Amino acid sequence: MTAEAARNLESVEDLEKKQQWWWVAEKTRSRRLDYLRKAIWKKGAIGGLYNPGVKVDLEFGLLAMESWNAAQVLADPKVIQFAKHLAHYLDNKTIFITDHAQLVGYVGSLPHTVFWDPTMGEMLNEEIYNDSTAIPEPVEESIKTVAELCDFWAGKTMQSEILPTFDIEDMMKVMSGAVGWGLPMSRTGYSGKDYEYLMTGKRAFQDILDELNQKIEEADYRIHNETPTPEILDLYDKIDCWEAMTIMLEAGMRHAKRYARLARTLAEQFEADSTRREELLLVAETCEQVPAKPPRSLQESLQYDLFIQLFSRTEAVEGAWPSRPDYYHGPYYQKDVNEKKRLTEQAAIDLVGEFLIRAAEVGQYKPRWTKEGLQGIDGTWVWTLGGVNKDGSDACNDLTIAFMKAARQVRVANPTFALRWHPEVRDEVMREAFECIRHGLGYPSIRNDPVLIENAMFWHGHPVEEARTWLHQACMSPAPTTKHGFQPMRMASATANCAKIIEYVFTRGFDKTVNMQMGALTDDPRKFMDFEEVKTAWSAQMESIFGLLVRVVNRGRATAPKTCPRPYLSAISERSVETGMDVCDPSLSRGNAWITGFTWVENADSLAAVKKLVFDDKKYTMDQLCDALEADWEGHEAMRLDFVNNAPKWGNDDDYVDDIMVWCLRDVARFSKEMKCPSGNNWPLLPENVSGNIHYANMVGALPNGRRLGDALYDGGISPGPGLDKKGPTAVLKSCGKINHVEDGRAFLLNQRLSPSQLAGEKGFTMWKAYLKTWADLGLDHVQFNMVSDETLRAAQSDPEKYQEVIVRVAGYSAHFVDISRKTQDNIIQRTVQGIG
Amino acid sequence: MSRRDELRKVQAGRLSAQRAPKATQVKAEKICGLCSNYSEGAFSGEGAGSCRILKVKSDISADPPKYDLESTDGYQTMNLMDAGKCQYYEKMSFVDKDGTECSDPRYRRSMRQMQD
Amino acid sequence: MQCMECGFEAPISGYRYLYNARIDASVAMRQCPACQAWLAVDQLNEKPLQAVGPGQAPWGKSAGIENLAEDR
Ligand code: SF4
Repeated sequence: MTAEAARNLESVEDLEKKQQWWWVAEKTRSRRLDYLRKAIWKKGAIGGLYNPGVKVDLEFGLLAMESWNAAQVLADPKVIQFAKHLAHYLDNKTIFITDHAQLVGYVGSLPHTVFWDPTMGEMLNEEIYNDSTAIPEPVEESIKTVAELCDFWAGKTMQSEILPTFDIEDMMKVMSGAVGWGLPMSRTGYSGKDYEYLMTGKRAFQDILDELNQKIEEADYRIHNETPTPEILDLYDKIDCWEAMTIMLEAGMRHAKRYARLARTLAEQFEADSTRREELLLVAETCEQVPAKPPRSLQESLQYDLFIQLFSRTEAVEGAWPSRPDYYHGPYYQKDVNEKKRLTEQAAIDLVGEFLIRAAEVGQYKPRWTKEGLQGIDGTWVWTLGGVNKDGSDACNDLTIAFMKAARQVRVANPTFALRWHPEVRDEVMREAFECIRHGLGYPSIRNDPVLIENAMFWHGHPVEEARTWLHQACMSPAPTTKHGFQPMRMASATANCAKIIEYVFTRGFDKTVNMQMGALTDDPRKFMDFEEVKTAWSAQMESIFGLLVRVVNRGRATAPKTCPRPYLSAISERSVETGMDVCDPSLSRGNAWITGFTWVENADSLAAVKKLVFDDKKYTMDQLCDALEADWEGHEAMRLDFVNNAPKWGNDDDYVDDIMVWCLRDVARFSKEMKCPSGNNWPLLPENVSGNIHYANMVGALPNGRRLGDALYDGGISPGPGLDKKGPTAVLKSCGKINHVEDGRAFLLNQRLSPSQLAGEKGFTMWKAYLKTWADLGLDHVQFNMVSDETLRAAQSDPEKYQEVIVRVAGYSAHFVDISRKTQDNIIQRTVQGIG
Repeated sequence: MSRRDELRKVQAGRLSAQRAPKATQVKAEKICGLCSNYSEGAFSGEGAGSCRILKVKSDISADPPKYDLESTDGYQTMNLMDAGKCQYYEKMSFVDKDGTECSDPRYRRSMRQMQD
Repeated sequence: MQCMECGFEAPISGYRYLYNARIDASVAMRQCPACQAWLAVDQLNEKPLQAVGPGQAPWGKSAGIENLAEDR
């Protein structure tokens, strides 16, 4: 008997007992969900390569080349030219409807492709030309097409446009990849959305279009009828901006109509099955309604959202998917399932599950730093559930629960959820969250809502009603969904490889991997006489790295409206519709900037080791330490072990090192208030990691915490080093509790591995809740859990075919275990499993 | 030359490599990407990197090649840069071409043109 | 140091350093430049311990869980 046949004979109860949740899901979900789930092409990369079979989509490039020539002839203003490219693509791209699907739309032309827009930048284009697996078949011919597209766009891309606007030295440092991520362009990063404008059922594309046309008419009238004064000068740019917005909205509506037509044609001419015919007709009706008019049902609401997201991903390479789906779609669920009873609960879960699947399959070709830093996923789709309403009352609803049930059935690794926990969240909701974690999804992560609302008010001055709308703009950072509170673009460049701070203390700012003077030229560490001198050098390196990243992002944000406009995102943002200014214009935004701090905890552990072994115990001199680090600890193994094992480590409730951690954070917080974004607001730090700890492993040199070049960095945020948290989970929480989670930074990621056998059953739920109570009492803002045993992970590593569906929490996101590199897998297995009894 | 000028030159070199017509690109036998002194950049997969020995004012494509061993910043070069004339070229004894791991500036060269 | 898979001999630094098995132990993964095998190496004594394929590393056992719960 084959393994599959044997499994088919096993009961759901048996599989549950064995905690083989992925087979449980397969057996319990509907036929439709099963089909759709298995039809997904995984778009995340393993290490730096896409999964076999996933190919670069050449269609946008070819269509854009076509429309470029037309646009050149017309000599339109840039923003309109750009809008016309996008519209031409939406009007002509290949569209398809998957069998059994009730929701439609894909960012590329075929389900196995990753979208590529060669107008973005030469660097990305070169990377695609160099890609060893993703060029579509026939490969030789496609290489020629890619080469043609690279050559055609060389010198004409957004990258070409923006690079000369930056300081040359800053840009070379950013592009070295040693300390920051990505180019500061408003078409790559994490786009927040003005959901309060768009998703509350009050308006849709046609309403906005009418308003825009009226604005254009009024401005045009003023230009031609008012006495010419400087007052009317900015109206010219505004008209262009509004016109570009109208082009985008009209294209979006036409695109939906193409789907309506396709669905109707399939239903009327090709579909033999009467049930499916009805479904296709409903798809057609849905696409005739949205996005032109506001949704009337759950299906329309989800389809509306999907279109909004897909258009945004045609305009930009989005690394995140900020969403609060239960809050905005909840009223439609309530109406369809609870009030009008048009949908059964299972039918609604099917729709919700399909919505998750449609999001999971999105793929845009990502550059190396993203592929490697977000292994296994296309971007961080961390969807926010729960939380509170604007008046502070509990916002959890039946759709909150439906999303978590659907997630257990479809078991996608992306999107994941983060639950805004607050004291009023019902037990029923917490139980669903626990079930997801126990089923090994690694999500939802748990966020402390009261702390984060206070934090949003403290750092960015968001009024309380706006702060309460917050969602995750990327993995971790809260951002409101309001007119002035939402952030249209969070540029990933403000992502710091923080371990470089302590590394540069010992190299005087020179980076031995990229062979450049990157940091500050601080004093010779061999001559340091006391720990204060180490701290002074640390501060200087911290300011030099963070200062660099903030400078380039500030510059990118300030120039974005001219160099890199976002007509579509502007069209769905109240502030741009109202003013005729690009959505990225900093004057329209309150500001919600943050620096993501990768590889942060190494700083505290390293500083503590230097203090203890060099200055307190005087066991080694600075000279000896510098020699050992220069040699990458080679030939100094006994000394290295001393620095690991005989110096206090973060996460053990030891004030010696915990005080150093708090000092570091407060020193950054001081600088965070001195630096300002172009909207005039603060730049707080947010320590978290994604899989940057592996991406950077071969770039960060030896450190005094005992790591060597090549070792995985700690798994991030404020999580202790793997295996170094030896005093149990409460000690971890107590260490983390010494940080002020409102004033010391924007948010702090904490990974915890728990034992699945220990947390089985009702007893497990009670223990987990008690753990969360301690977590909440200590005022922590985040925690996420891995609950998959070492045994399963090792089995998956040696026999990946059999364990395709095992999901793990990486850091700030989840991934299928088989979709991450072996080193990343080992790093997850290395993490301490905490018993929480 | 000021540091700004040096860096501007480096950036111009990098951009011109990106704009070079693909049809004329030929892989030489000795390239920086196969030299043990090369450190591949991990920022993007465009194939840029730097040299651990030569400094920024070097130019191995000049005739005769220019070698700067004094400046602070390293010589910025590319994986596929013709190193036929570089006297510091040292063949890597082991090249890791597995792209399913993350960047390893010293050992890993996973781009298509470096595959066998 | 001699590679137990192919017999290649070189000082420990002649083997490509991959990453530690655990930061607090003297065991690291290195790769033989001749046969590309991954070896677990005792760094202190500069001795190869075993060749390691996927899923075979015996390290990474939880530190905090001993005597509290069995991780199965
Ligand atoms: S070939 Fe010359 S320039 Fe290129 S990496 Fe080697 S030593 Fe440096």
